[in-house]
This record gives sequence, structure tokens and C-alpha cells, in this order.
Amino acid sequence: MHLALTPRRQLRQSYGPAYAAVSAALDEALAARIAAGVATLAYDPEDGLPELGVGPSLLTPAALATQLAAIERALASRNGIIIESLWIVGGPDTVPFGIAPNPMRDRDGPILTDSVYGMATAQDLLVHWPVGRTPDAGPAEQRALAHLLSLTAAAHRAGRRPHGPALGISTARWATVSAEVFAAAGEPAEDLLLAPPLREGMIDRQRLAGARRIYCNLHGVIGSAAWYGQSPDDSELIPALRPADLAGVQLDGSVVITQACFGARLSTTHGEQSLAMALLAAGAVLIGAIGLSYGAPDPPASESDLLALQLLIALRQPGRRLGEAVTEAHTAVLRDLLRRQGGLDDDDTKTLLEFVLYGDPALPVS
Amino acid sequence: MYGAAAPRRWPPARSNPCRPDLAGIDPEVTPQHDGQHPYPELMKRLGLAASELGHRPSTPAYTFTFSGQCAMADGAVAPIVAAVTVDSHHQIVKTSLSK
Repeated sequence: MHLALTPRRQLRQSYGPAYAAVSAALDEALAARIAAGVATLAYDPEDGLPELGVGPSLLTPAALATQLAAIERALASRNGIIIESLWIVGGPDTVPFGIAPNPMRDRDGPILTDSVYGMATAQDLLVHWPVGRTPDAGPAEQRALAHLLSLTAAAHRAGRRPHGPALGISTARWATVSAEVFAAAGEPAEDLLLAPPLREGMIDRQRLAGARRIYCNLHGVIGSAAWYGQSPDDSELIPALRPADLAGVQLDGSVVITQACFGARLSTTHGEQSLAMALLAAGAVLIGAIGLSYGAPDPPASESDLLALQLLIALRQPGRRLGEAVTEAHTAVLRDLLRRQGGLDDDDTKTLLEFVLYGDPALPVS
Repeated sequence: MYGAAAPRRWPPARSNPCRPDLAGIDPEVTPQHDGQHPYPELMKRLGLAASELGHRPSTPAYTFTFSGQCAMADGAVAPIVAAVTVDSHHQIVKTSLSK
């Protein structure tokens, strides 16, 4: 059973008159899901699921996690139904990100993550079911959520899309490790672009639109919505991709994997939409980190490089749903690290907890 | 093995071969490889037997985390974090950089 956490009461309160459009788009997405064969149980946590004997919950991470555990037990007791995925509708102002302790001494604060809603903990990092979220950037961006839900409905109606190429964008400084990841994932080297020479405004939009998997190994910063490249000599960072570069680009069916720090940030910066929101609005789904992200400057690949590699591999496997592919990638990373290292370092733990999926986890992968 | 003060004096100039911006910054020091085994339930769900676990050194390694930032010409600020893990032989075993 695929759960859909649909906090209609809170959305109505947050969106006011604009809620009608959100509600209509949500109904459309749920109907499209069901028509696509996704067995769906939608619920408002503040109502609970009285038919399962599950009471209402506050919209706090701890209460929602407790309620999910109760839902899991209730479903299991009824013919052994398991939860196959959880789709959260709404941004963090509506359904807050879960919070996990940050093992890194990097002044990044606690880890914000949706993994807690998949029952992951700092000790047991593998979610029990994949979690994906269709977010908004806050009630001030009132058209965004309805638009993303409409895109979700369209994606379910479109079904599985033909397999297509990948496109990689990496800082020139990290060229070697990015090339190693791309090659290990079976992707052609000529599909990996380096920044520089790539700079903002230069991306081939047609090439971007044709990519099914978009791998970004770029810097993320504070105070700019752009993702940045870096010269091989380790000198200054240069904007490589920004929201304006996506104008008119259709990314339906594309999955963006971003290793950039703050790559999954939703809020606007100096009035500029985040790249995550711009990519989602163009039709993509996105996997990225809300806080600081880590990796290797040179081979061998580590932390988010390893996760990106396994995501690229998992997303090529036919017949999967998006959430399954993400969980498979996490599983592969964990197995690899435990076999090689016998345990997890703090940066491995942070990586596995902090990457979130923006998109319906029940969507089919090309 | 390392006293509370000793790690802060080492590694000095060798810090951050990749990030000269972090020269002179005092690191935070945390032990790695504290002897804890992976959570048994996680092992079970991954389908891993205890015999498949890689070797963990018996002496702890330490991670020196250097945190700084780089102001850019366009006014944005890039947080820069380098995490350098060092074993009991003072050998760097891992370097992670923020993206």
C-alpha cells in the first residue's frame, strides 16, 4: 500500500482562497495514481485513520512518526499489508522535515530529513519504506504546489517513459572523481560537462531537456540560488547553473541528482527561486541535500559521490518506482561501506540521512 | 592516545591540501571507529552477515573538521568544510570536502 500524507486542513489554513486550486490538483494527482495502478491510502494526519483505529496526530515529526508506526501495525494486522512508500504533500511549513542529530562538527546544525518518516534513525539508517515529498516554497509561492501536483498527475498518466541519456555537470576541480562516478554508472564520458568552461547562461537547453538523469556535482552556496563550478586550480567559484537557465525547458520524466550543498533548499534567495523549485516546476524530480553535503575532491569517490553513483545505477534499472530506486541506492551504499569499512564514518551517516526525494515515490522510473 | 590538546596542534600546515582558505583555522576533533558495531537490525535488513563486515582498526581514528567560508565576488558565501581523518600512525586515511 502506498500512503499519501495529505494535510488538507493545514493546507486550507495556509493557502486560504488559493487552497481550492491545490485541492483540485491534489485530487487529480491521487486519481491519476490510482488509475495508474498505485494502491493508495490517502490520509490527513490531523484526522487520523479511524477505519484502522489510528487516532489523529499533530503535524510534528515525532507525532507523525508515531502515527506512521501505528498505521504500519494496523495495516500489517489486516492481511499483512505493508507500506510500500510514503508521499508527503506540502512543504516544510506544512509538514516539517524531521530532525536528526548531526554527527559532523561542521556548524551546519541538526540534519533536516524526511528519512524519519520512513522510520530511519541515526543507528538504523535504512528507511523501512521510501519517502518522497511534493513541496512548496511556502504559502507566499501559492501557485507552486498546485502546479507540481498537476505535473505529478501528468507523470502518472504518462506512465513509463522510454529510456534516455544522462547528462552530468561537474566542477572542473572535481572532474576526475565525477568522471569516475559517471563511468562506473555506465554513462558516456562525452555526456559529462565541466564548469568551467560551462557558466551560467551557457547550458544547452535542448540537451538538458533530453536527459532522463541529470547528475550535478557542483557547489551550493549561501546567498545565491545558483550552483557553482570551480576551476581545476581550486580558485574561485563561478555560477554554472541558475534558475533562469531553465526558462522554457521541459524536464518531464527527468530525475536530478544534485550533490550541491543546500541543493534541496526550497526558499528563495534575494527574490530568486531556488534551483530545486525551478527544476521541479520544469517537471523533474530531485534528490539532494538540504544542508552541507560532502564528497571527495579527487578519487576515490566518497560520501555523496557514492550515493550519486548508486542512484545513477538504480535509476537505469527498468520496472522500478522512484522510491524503490532511491532505497536500492541507499542499500547499495550501506552494504558497500560496511563491507569495506566495517562501519560508517560521521560523513557517511550524514550523507545517508540528509538526502531527500522531492517527487512522488510511486512514480515509475524510465 | 591523543590528549585533549594534542590534536589541535596537529595536523598543522598539512591541513587542507585542497583548501588553502582553511589555513590557520582550529579544527574540531572527533573520534571515529569507536568500536561500535553496526545496528544488528540494519545488518539483517541489508542481508549482511557479521563475517562480511570490513575490518575496523582496534585503535580509533580521529577526524579533524575545519570549518570556514569563502566570500565570493557576487556577494554569495561558500561554506567550506574539510574533514580529515587520521589514523593512529598519523596517516591521513580520508579527506572529505563540503560541496
